[in-house]
Amino acid sequence: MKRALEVALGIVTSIGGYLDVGAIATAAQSGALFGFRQLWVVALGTICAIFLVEMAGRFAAVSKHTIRAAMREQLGAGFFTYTLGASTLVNVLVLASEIGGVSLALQLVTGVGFRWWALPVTVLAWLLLWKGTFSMIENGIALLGLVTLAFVVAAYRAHPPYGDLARGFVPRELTSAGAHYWFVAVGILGAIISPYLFYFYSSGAIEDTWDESHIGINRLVAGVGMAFGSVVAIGVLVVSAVVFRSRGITVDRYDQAALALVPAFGRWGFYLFAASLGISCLGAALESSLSTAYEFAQGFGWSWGESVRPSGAARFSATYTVTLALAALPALAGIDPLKLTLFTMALNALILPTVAIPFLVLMNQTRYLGRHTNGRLSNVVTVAIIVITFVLAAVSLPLEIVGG
Amino acid sequence: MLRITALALLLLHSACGGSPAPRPHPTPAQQTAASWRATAIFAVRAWAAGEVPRPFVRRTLATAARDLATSPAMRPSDTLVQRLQDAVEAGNRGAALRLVADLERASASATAPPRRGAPAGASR
Repeated sequence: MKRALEVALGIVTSIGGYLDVGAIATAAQSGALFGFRQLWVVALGTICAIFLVEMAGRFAAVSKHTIRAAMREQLGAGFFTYTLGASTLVNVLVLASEIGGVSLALQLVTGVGFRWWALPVTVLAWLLLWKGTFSMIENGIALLGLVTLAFVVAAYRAHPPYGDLARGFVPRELTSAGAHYWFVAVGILGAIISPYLFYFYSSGAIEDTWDESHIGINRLVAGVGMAFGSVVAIGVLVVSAVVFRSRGITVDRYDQAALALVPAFGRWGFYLFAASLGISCLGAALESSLSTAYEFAQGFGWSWGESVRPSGAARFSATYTVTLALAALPALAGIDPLKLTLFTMALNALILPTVAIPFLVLMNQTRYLGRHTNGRLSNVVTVAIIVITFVLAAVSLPLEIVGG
Repeated sequence: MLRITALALLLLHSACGGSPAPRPHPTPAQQTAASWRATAIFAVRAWAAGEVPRPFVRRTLATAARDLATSPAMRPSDTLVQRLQDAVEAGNRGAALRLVADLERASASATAPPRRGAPAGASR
């Protein structure tokens, strides 16, 4: 019974925690610009994320090591330091986008400009991390995140042409699509395959004291939870396609995206959008702050743990404090959160190979995984993911310049 | 034979000449400007129906007016967005809806394909 509850909670939190500012921004822009034509990108990103999340959880459950700590042990301090630098830069930008997202949600509700909310939002996130426990962050915020299911209901109510919708899952016009099509596609993949997600998930497995008996739960949470979670992102894309594309609105700012749920829910729609944006961004802000602190602490061998009192993990707590302070700056400076998000998602894609390659190395080490090393299918998929991440990394910067 | 061929070519030419000219693909600036006009219309309609709060519409219209004012695709009818701001500021839903209808007409006539025989670009 306890296990069944654990599975249910894991799946529910995966659904509630799936969306973040990047997923909302890229899916909304994709739907508005290209209709259903990029649904296949969401599906591809979700498949990659399912495999990587499952591997991150399995690795932690069996080896009692996080991916980051094992990277340091197996791949050396040089590789670790380089990837930590790149990952920290991207994490800070992701966090800045999330803080911008929560601030914008508050701007929508109160009418007070988002820059004024940047500092209170940062302090709130810091307080939640300082005072809260891991399960409160993991379960509480993600359960609140179920409000994002409003997008799925709105998509259903919009009566999209289901034939066109189904055709969106098949990649077409690959050679004829323009630079902006690929820029948005890279952004969608960068938003779904977020590096911080895997480090957070494997650290969470250690925080929750997972062992080999959790392998089944891990598989269910990663597979079913992420698959259902992607339905929310698909909901955003479909709603955007139906509401905005038909009106010729291209979603260049969140002001425009805020109208997405109004046709389906009227006055409630506006506030449901604000709640979805605010809660999902707050959850992702907590996760990405923690992820940076986890990466530093696990790599340098500091004491760490969100459920440990801050005085017991001083350097860990100091790291997320500094990360949050740095990430507040773009919103305080008034940088447009949507533009920052789209830029960051493309940058996310640039560092993905450094995330994916260690999985292939680590997941085949019997020293860590014993009989739970990767099977043939997992290795084939991991190699395919590495190829995809290399392509994304190679095209992300040129596309940022040409198509962004 | 030559006369029949010439007649057939003339008929073919007149038949093809009657078809509307293909619409030029909008530039990114035109697309963004059109998007802001559509946003203004959508937001004001939603406000008039009581579906979105006034501060949100005010801010959206201010952004739309600012972006349109600096856009190379700006049109004279875009001053309607500024007048919409005034109407929303005054809380005058009736005036706002009339201005929305004007903006819609201006947008529709600007995007309509040229009439038969009318020179390209004649439609406002």
